[in-house]
Amino acid sequence: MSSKFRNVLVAVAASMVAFTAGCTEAGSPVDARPAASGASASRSTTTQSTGDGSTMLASANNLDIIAKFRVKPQITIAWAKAWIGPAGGRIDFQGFTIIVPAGAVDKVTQFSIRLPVDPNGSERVVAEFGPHNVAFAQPVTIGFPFRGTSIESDPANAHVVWWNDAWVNMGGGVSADGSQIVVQVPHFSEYGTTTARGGGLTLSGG
Amino acid sequence: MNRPEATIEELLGLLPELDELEVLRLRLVAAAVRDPVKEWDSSSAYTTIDKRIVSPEAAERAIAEAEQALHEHVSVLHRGLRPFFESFFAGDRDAAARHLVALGEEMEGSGRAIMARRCYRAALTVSLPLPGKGSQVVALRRIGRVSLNVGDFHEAAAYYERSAELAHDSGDVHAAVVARTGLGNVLTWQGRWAEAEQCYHDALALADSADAGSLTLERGQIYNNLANLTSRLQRIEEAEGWFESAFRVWETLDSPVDLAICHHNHARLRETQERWDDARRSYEAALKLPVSSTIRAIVATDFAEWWLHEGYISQAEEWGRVAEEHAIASGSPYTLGHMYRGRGNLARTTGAVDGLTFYEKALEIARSKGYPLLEAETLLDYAALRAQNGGAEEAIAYLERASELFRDLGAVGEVARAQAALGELRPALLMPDVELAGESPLAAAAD
Repeated sequence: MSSKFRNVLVAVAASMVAFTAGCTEAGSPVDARPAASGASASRSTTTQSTGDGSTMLASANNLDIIAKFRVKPQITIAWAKAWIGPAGGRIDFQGFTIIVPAGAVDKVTQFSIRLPVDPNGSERVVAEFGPHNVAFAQPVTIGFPFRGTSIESDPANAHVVWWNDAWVNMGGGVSADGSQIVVQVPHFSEYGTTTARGGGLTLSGG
Repeated sequence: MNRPEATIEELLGLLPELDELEVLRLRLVAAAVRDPVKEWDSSSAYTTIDKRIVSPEAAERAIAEAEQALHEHVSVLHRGLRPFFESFFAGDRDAAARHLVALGEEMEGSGRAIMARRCYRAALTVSLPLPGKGSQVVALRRIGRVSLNVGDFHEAAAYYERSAELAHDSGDVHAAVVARTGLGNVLTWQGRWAEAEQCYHDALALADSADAGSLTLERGQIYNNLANLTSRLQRIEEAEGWFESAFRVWETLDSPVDLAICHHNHARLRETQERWDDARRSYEAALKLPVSSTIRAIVATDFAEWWLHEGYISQAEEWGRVAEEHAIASGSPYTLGHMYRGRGNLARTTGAVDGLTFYEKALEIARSKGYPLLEAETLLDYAALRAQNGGAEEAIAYLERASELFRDLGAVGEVARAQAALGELRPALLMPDVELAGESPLAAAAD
């Protein structure tokens, strides 16, 4: 199993929904399907400019700024994964989506969506996406639940943020059908780790 | 001033250091619960057993239960001594020694390992002047077994070795096979896998030299251990063969503990092969069998990780709780350490913040008792937590140490995994922005 949480990308609005970039090898398999077209992202504004084109959200090292689900989802399966190749594909999991366009990856790659399962985290519109360490040749679209969340009434300010020691605004906007906030990203994270499954020692006799 | 509760650490520190209070200590530990006020505490170590709290009512119940258990224990002890005295006064020193061994086994069965060892030592003393070495061989072996279970490896090895020599000199093939198997187990625990394998092969050769059809149980146990060892050494084809031999024995011979061990190790092999459904079936088969708390805790810990791998957090947590309960009951430091490692993984995967505490606890046990495999596996998992919290440098140090330990063990697969993780992390250190890592908001959600 592996995981990586340094950089967090979550979706936020009126704040926002947020996502964490990372990876995991674990999860329940989700069938890869051909990529759906059209999930484009519209930009939105937030509080403070960093001068490099991205925008920083002030003093937001907590989840209070992150949108909440109106009805907290019952999450018993924490994540989903799918192998997606150069032809593209998508994962849908609990209202979260990864849409990989054709040509984004040059070989079959495992994509994953992981959700927090603790009582405080799971009420927020937040997810971790994998794989780490992969720069996509074409931007990948990620989608977050919008309908049924605390920011539903303020679509103009809906955007996605990414955690990098502070919330970083990634832009994004509400999808054409109004169900999601979507944004395109070139990668999910910079690095990650892999760990082994160690097993206990049981011996017979003696 | 009235106190609604106290931490178990505080209570244990205040109790007089009397052997008679050992049961009470264990009952208090078992009665201790997580502090609900600190349920989402991100920094304290409240989640480990020694930091939990005990209410006055729970303490009162623990005292009553301990008193009752102590009464029963004293009865068993004295009842067990009667036949010893009878045999001794009848001049049958061998029978007297065997009665003491039986008493020790009863102590061992009720989880009183240290008392059991004292009984076995007394049996050894009684048996020393005897020309027949049978009871002495058994007493030596039992001391070896208890010492192994409490993590005293050097003592365990010395007693098993002496038992094997004496059995060999007395021409007792059965006892020699059992003692050599025990010695192989000690070597496995110590991480001396090549020597352990040789020891098992020696035991098997001895068993094969016995009459055909005899020592079936002992052969099955050696098959189990060789299957486990060759799996860990990544000699998969060989491992499959040993498993086949072992299962063939357990099909005809009723030994639930050995069958459970076989299923457990088989599950581990199937996981290595990524045959997850087969692994699940093996875990479930192991857990259905009537086994000791030690084995149940170890299997439950691994099964919890199986659920975690499949993404089913609530089931993983449920099995984690089963593991914890049995690990406490087992009194085995290894089992406790293994369970803590599993809890650390669960915490890491769910983004809970107490992973660090669990890993530290597992490392403390592994290092103080000398469990190299547990130490290496914990370091490997701990490295992932460090890396995900931005501590790439610490993670690399952990992975290097884990790699070293695995290499010493000959655990080829684990060395490769540690190296792969190192390969991913090292370039990250060269990227300045990567070092400026912050807390994950997912982790913060647990505060």
